[in-house]
Amino acid sequence: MTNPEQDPDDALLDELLKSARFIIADEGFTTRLLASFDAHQSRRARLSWTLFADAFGWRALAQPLASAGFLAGLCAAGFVAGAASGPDDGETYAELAAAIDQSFDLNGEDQSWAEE
Amino acid sequence: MTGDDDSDETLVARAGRGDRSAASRLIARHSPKVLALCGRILFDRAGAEDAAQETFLKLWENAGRWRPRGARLETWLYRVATNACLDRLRKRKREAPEKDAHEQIDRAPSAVEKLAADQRRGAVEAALAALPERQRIAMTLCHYQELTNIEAAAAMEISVDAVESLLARARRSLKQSLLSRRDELMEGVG
Repeated sequence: MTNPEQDPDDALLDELLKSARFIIADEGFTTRLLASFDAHQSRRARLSWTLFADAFGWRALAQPLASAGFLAGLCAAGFVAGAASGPDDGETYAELAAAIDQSFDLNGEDQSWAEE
Repeated sequence: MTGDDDSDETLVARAGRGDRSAASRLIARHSPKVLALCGRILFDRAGAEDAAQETFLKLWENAGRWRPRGARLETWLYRVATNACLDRLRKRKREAPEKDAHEQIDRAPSAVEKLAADQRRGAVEAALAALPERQRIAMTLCHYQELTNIEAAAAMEISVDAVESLLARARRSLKQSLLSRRDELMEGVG
């Protein structure tokens, strides 16, 4: 810039230029800027997740994985329902015990083999 | 700046990692000057606020990878702000070229009707508004934002010689339009 001391017209011009107003940043404006930072951060967080998912091909696999998940859920529900409606362990044991001849002495049989 | 932890570089790096308080400090430190620059280029508060917001959004987007490379953050912000303002001026001209010209011409007569201080201010603002864009930007950066010619050249992405030429032409135009009315404008100035 020209040195105002060299030319009185320049000094006068500088004096006049001082009178021009400028826009003052009020609190509302700084709040708006901070809100833009917050919005950018949340956008970035969403984008990071998307990039991560894309890197592992998760988004491409989303549809087949959803179908497989649905089938797996259906199987699990069937298993739970079947387990809940079947006979309990005590009942099954009683049926098996009744089917076996209880009079047969296993110890006596062992001894008879030893004598031979 | 009070120390290393408070430097622009540190604050930008922290903001890039999502530190809200660092972003808040950068806003408090630089937004008044960025807004003032945009206001002086656009002469419109809403447009200036939008341009300043766009500038800070660019800062947030680049904060994680911002490197000083010899330039101050302030100069970088001014460059982005200047470009944002130039985009708006071009858009404004495309949308309403005649309206823009009339706005600049109409300022002076309305200012004449005001009191001495207002009259002076109005005349100065009208003279600044009537300057070609790049002359006005060079004048604003060097005179009002107090950048050196080298920093202004970096902000405008032109050579130092070009800045000096723009400044010389701007001052010549301002002298012609303002100093011819010096008695009227300097009335009441102690």
